[in-house]
Amino acid sequence: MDRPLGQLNRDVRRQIQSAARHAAAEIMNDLAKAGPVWSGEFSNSWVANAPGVGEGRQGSYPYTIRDTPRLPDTIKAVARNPKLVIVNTTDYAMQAMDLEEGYFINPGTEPLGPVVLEGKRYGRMRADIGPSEEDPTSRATAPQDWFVNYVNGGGMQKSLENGIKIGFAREN
Amino acid sequence: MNYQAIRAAVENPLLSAFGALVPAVPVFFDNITAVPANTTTEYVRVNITFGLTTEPTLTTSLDSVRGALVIRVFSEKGRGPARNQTLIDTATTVIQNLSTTPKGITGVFLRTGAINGPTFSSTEEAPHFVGRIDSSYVATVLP
Repeated sequence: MDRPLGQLNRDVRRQIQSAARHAAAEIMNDLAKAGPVWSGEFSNSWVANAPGVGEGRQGSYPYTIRDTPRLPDTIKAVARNPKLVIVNTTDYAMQAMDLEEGYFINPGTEPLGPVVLEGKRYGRMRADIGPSEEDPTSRATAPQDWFVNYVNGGGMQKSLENGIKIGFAREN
Repeated sequence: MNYQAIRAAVENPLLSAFGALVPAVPVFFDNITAVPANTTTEYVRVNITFGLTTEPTLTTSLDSVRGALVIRVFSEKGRGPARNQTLIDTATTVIQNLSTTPKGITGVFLRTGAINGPTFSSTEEAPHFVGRIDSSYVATVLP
């Protein structure tokens, strides 16, 4: 069906915005999967915000495109290069992402995620847990530097590619 | 894939650089728990992670790895950032040099990405001032 050029341009802009939102949802899901899962609070606290446009809703894992803010598709708005910023809203996000030292306590509950480290705590980074001859007193549910590895090791790029593929496929 | 060769290609130059300082600064790598916790002794921790091992590329080589390199420098708290920054500078120089190593016929060909940081942190309970940098890398093991 013939479409006016103006509408065609708008369709392309919509596809791009949709792809960006799908990519953000993919990234949030992969961050939730890669990161620590003890009570589930951290993995359910990823939020996509669009500065200057609006904040994404506080969703939970698994995230969908509905958890990302709708981006404007007018020429003027697109020219301002709207961005999606993914953040974790927990107070302890920096410690959970192994970016800062912290003080870790056993919450007295069993972790929901798989335990990848078990032993005795020897340092103040989240995954500073080493082998112990005594009963293990500390556990971690994500490997050390999981966040940096996801960002730098190619994981985020894969999520982005998948999200864009899904976004363009859905819009067509 | 020779992960150990890749690890050695990153770890050995760092170990040499910090070992050559006067006094030498101890460096701890992955899976070594002998960190002098709760002391003011300065030390360095190097963590190497492996991300994607193979991915479709334009070349026929699938023997390449992408990953991340995280270096944390622990120095005495409450004494200013100068010493920590000096040690971070040593690490930064090593990472930059890794990317200038020419490609040989055998061994590991490694290129690092942008260096993020340094960022500094110091928590109330912890005895150290912590400086941190990280970078991505792509390594290919040559036959």
